[in-house]
Amino acid sequence: MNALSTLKDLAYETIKRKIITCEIMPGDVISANELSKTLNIGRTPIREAFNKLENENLVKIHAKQGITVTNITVKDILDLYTINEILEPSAAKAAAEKIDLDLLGEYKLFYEDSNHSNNDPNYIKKARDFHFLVNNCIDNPILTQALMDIYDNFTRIRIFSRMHNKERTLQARSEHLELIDAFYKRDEKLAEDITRRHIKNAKDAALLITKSR
Amino acid sequence: MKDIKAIAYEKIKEKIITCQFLPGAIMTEIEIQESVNIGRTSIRQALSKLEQENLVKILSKKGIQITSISIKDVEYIYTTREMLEPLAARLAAEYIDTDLLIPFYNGFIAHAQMDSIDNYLSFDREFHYLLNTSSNNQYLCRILMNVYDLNTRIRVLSKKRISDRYNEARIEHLELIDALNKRDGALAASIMKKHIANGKETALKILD
Repeated sequence: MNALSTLKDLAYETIKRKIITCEIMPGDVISANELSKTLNIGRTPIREAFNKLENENLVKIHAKQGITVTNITVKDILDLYTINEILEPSAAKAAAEKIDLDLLGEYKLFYEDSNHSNNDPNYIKKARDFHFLVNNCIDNPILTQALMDIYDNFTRIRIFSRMHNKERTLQARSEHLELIDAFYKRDEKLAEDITRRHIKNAKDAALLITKSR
Repeated sequence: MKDIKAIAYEKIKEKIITCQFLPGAIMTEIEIQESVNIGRTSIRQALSKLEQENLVKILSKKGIQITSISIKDVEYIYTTREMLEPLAARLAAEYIDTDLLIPFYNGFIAHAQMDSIDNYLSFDREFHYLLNTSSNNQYLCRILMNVYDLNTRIRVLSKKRISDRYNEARIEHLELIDALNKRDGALAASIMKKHIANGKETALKILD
């Protein structure tokens, strides 16, 4: 039984990564059979993985066996950012108060480095770690969990909207550096304000690319 | 078609969130197996999923511990609700099908469903579910439904206090329905905020 659930997790993680990094693009059709062959994983764990992904609104399973990657719609963007507008500024405020400053150095270096691309797995992991570190400062595991539950949906939107928008990539990088700076100063108000602006800019960039398609 | 593992998962979860399995209790796998009458393999898979959701802790030799509830947990849950449910109420004021509010209005007015605390709790839960799904925001809804599963345990435990608060909560619900019918999002959000803060106070008292 453990072998089966491990296979399911492996299938889930692998497919999810492909979707989030836009290696499989929004709207693309996925063949479960092909995946089963390329990953060398049986059909049952693959199907279970897709059920979980559908629950996270990353794929849509159609009645006659076809599976498509969900499109990123204007509504998805508005729905997700409405939640973030409430939660993230308060996470940033909490982080300004109590984040462990010793841990910030590596993220400062990371955001200063302009050589990595947006969909590089190391970049994604590092960015996720940074957001988890910040979100964890809320000191409420349930709220942190809520933020992390939708984090992967954000990652996909972010990667997608920056694919053809070098400017936004640079802007986002400097927003993160400003935020880290505010943490060093322990300036709660500043951290909150930067986060609000960061969310607004990210949302606008996502809407721009979605509407222009 | 639901598989047997999913059924085991739901049956055990129901027993946990309604406190038929009490918080903090240590049970054997066989006891759990007998109470839901499903085979061992499915039970184990269900338990490992429930452990991920932090509803049980699998102790290597001793058995399975039902996760306990602390004052901290109450604060975590209600703070999360305080932040997100006013948003759900504000959105619901825009999108809700107000016809769906009628049975709740009648119920709260007539004290229907109030013959037992259990019925009241499930009626109240249905009402909040309706609001969350009517927010027309699937991501928000998903988060709040997860929080609700955790919250139900606290509410079941605090039955006695809930019966003290019952009338106050009933009136808050009626005010909320009124705001939704008027499609007044700001008012709905502020009533929801007050409603949750009062609920939090009640829940904290039982753990004192």
